[in-house]
Amino acid sequence: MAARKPVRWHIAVFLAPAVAVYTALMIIPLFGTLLQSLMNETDDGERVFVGLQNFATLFGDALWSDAFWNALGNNTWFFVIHMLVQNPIGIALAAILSTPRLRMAAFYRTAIFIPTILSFVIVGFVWKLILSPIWGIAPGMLDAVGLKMLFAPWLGKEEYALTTLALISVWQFVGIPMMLIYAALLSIPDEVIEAAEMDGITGWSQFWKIKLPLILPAIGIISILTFVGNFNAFDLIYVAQGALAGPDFSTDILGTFLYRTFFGFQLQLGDPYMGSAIAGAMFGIILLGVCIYLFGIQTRLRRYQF
Amino acid sequence: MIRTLVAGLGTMGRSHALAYHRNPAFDLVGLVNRSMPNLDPELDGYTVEPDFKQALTRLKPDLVNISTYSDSHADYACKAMEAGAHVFVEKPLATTVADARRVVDCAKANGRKVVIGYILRHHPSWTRLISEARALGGPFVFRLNLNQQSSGPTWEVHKTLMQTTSPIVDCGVHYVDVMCQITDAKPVEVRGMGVRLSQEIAPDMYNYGHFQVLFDDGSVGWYEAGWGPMMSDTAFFVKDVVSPKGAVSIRMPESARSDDHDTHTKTSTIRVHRVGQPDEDLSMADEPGHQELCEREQAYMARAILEDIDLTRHMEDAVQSLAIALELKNVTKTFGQTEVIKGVDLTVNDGEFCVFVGPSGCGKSTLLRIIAGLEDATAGDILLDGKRVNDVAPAKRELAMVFQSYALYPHLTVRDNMGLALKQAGQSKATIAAATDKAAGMLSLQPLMDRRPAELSGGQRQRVAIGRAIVRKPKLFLFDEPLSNLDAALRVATRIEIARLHRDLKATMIYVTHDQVEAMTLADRIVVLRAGKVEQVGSPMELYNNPANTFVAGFIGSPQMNFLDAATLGFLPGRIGIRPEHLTISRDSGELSGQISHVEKLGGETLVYARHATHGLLTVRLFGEHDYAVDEEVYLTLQRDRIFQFDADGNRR
Amino acid sequence: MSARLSPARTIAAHAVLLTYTLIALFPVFVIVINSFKSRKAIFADPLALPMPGNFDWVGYETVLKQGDFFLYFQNSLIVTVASLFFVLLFGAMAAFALSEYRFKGNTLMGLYLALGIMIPIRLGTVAILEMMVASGLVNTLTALVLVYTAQGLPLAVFILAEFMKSVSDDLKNAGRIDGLSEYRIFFSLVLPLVRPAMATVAVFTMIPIWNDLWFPLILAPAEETKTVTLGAQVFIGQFVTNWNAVLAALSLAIVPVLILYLISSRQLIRGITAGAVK
Repeated sequence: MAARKPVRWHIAVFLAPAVAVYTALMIIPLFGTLLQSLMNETDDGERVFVGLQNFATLFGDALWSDAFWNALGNNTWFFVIHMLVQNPIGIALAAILSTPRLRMAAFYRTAIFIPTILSFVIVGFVWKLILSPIWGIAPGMLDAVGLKMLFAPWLGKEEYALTTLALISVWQFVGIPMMLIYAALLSIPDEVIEAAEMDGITGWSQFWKIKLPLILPAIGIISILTFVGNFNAFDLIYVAQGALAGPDFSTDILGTFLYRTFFGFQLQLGDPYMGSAIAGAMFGIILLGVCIYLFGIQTRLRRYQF
Repeated sequence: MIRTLVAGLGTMGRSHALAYHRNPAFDLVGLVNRSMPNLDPELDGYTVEPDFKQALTRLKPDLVNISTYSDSHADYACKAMEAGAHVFVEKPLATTVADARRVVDCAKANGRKVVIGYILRHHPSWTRLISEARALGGPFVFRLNLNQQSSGPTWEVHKTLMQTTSPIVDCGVHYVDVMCQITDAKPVEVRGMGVRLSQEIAPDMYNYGHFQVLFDDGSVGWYEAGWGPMMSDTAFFVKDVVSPKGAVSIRMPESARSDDHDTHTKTSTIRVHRVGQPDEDLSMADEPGHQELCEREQAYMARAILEDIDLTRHMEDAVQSLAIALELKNVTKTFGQTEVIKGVDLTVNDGEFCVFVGPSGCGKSTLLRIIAGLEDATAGDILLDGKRVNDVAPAKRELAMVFQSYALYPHLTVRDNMGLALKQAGQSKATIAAATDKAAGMLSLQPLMDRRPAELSGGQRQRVAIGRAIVRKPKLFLFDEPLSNLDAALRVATRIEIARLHRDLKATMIYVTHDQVEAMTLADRIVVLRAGKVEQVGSPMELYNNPANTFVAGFIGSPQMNFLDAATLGFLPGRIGIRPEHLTISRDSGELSGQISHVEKLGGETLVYARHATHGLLTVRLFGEHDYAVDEEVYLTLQRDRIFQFDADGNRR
Repeated sequence: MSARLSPARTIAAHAVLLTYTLIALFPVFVIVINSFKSRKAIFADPLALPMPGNFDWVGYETVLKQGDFFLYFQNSLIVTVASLFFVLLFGAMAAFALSEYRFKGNTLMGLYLALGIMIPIRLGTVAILEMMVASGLVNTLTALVLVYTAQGLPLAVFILAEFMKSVSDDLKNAGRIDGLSEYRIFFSLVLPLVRPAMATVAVFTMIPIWNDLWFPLILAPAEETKTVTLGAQVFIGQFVTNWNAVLAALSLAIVPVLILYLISSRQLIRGITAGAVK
């Protein structure tokens, strides 16, 4: 053997800051939280290891589990609405946007993405205003087209509130699937589309037979991003309905449940151990979803080199 | 005796004249040509006159052979028939369908015979050899040669031929074609070499050559050709195909002499040797040379006249072959302010292989895309089969396109890629399967049918793209630089394959390339474009031998033509052009002195770059290896009959 | 591309896109126009444009007088710019190491850093808060900068590494032959070439930071460290009936992020095309 290769310190130098910050503020706290979910406190303030007892409480003790299952169910519905409304609309808008030689495409693209950059505070407030029965832009507008009887205080009614919030969130985030699908459509080479034109495959059948199969991987990525985003959501519900996720917890999702548990609300004190357990449960759910995607879906989606 | 007048004494006209001279059924009464050509010694004693009309009225022939430039075919033929003569006319019958139709109508009205010359039709011998060999099955060994120990007048003929063409080139393409027809496989490599065995031919010519072809099914082939008094009489006419199951050969009697046409036309047989079985001898139609084919054509002409053969079908075929597949009328394209296509007029005939060639940015691809319907013409008309298609969607134009990047559907298998258009058109599954299987067979794609494009090599993808086009049975094939993404070896093989497809499918093809070698080797007709305008249209050899301006002269031919200042060499002011192969080099004396600045040895040929004080860098192309050194003083001489003169604007004088 | 789009289809495409654009912009429009109107006018006719008859600055006056809005802006700006700087710098360095050098554990390191794209940092909040409490960083902007840097790094590394793979090896090797150190190669050859990708990453990183409510609420809710998003949220709670002020505050909060987005929206689509989806 020749002389040993010199140690390439520059690799370490390049990696060190990112790895350090990332590990210290993301990985360690994440595992710290998971560890804490296995702990509890005795009455005299001593930390003890309790195994999965917090999780047993969370899933089994009616005091906790009712709220947990309610939040999980609401969260699932929240996700379903996104998948059924946000992603199809995003794909449709992207498909229309990618029409060749469409004038003002850049303007539409920019405008439709604007809600995505707005803060939840603004989004929550403005929709509350618009849907408010008092101020009444929505009732006024419905009145103008003679549909006033359809109006209801959607955010205030248990049966509508969660769906309404989900739709508001769809309104806000539809730009993301639109952009990603648009980019995926642009990456299909012109010559392939032209070959389809020559083969007589045009319009809708071109979309179904040529483009859609080629953007399936992008749709997969969008689905998992939507999943992670939805099961991690908190802000919109918090700003629109408060930490109590009213009316009567009908809009409570895992994020708001975690916040309330950890920091306490009204008369109840915060409980960092149960909070950690909820965070741990959320971690498990998200990890499960990501794994299903990575191993069950992504491997079946063919990616194409153009 | 049929009193015969021959008009036009190019290669074909001279051969036909000789055929009439030799055939007792004919009496050759006159020859018409605008200038005085070199005639075969056998034709000594015939006079050549310049005016066709006068000759026609004075000689009152029974048959007129028209071997002139194609644009005069129709007029000459009609005049001849109106004067009461039958007509033999070289392909094409006319330059337009209307003219061809006029000739046919004239023939019917006057009750005259018209035979259109197309010597390949009179080629019966190979058909049998090919079918027998195919029946045995590959892989094959092809052993083919055609050496001629020529002396006296035959050697003179050969020397005349070798002013332009070496023996190996003369029939080489034809022999490769025969090999391809037997194997159905792709040639993957061709190796060739030649040697100059005589001082009587040009220094850059060689009179013996041979090449080897390797095919992707493992078949190997060899062909040699040599002309001259030094050639051996041993095994001079080998036509031998060996396969695992036996061999097929053309047998010659031991007594045959290599330069005697009669011996091998009358006595040869095909022997089929099958392993473990007695050999079978088939009496064989001969392997005719160029002259014999002409003679055979004229024998047919005589029969047609004497036996009053019905030629209606023959004439209709000739008219049909002229039908215009595509016509462009003053097509213009502007992108914003820039005019990229500036009023192009063009017709492409049915079955023609038309190549658009030009430097990048000349608008050739845009023109192709306008024909395809992928771009709109800003002005002008596009007619397919006589119908205006400007507003017809690409898919409805019944054409298929092969893209530079192949543009295969990445998510579909080869089979589905090829069948998608038919499926979209609502064809039945059986029809689609039949069409795709047939195309796959033509392109040897059968083992790849269930793969996806990502699992194919570049060459395979290219063949799938071609297959996708074939399946649709289009009226017109469009190729947009289809070979530019392939490596050099594959490019040659695919080029040969496209040429073969064109022959097999008899389809009209338009092919865009920037590579003049592709253009020269594939095209029936080349359209040279520059900056959105057509510079010249013509057959490859027309463009090579008769370029309209300096641009075409410089673009066609590699290495590029030399341009020299005309006035200093005693020509009219402007420039003169001479191809590197038509400059001779000498250490002792010559017209221009220069200093060698660079020498490129390519094995088969040597390129010498010499700098002249006034004319700059001049390229000389020499065949074989030569030992010139950099900085050596040399003399260059221009072959006077190969000089092109151009005026100050670059147009041909 | 085919020029043969029928006019009917073009009009339909515009109709759909225009309708959706209106839906997307309408709420923003409502906020902005009403922030310039008098209280009475807001209630009387919320959809009317601000005109001489109903025009009023009072909302903006209240905001600028009452709240510590300038302070909030300053906090948001400091947090966002500092986090962005560290994300881009550290992210680019790590991306360069991963894409340029072959070393043991390269792939593993890539996966480790990519984990953060899928697993949200919020799940570690409990421990982060404890850590900040322990180190005395609660209610400091430093805490937010650290958290946001960690939050932004995974995606930044991922996108930038994709881009850096496309930087010509010949260029870098030419630099090495000319005697440049690896650091010089990174800073003077590679970084300038991936500027478009940096812009994409900047937009992706900046928007969630600017808009985040969770960490300011938990880590830095003190008056002097409030960000503009948290400030606006609190302001809404305090001035729930002073709609002029709330609307003006919201309009002001929209402006910076909107300007930045409009500047970089062209880069955004380029970045997505080249990196994220592939």
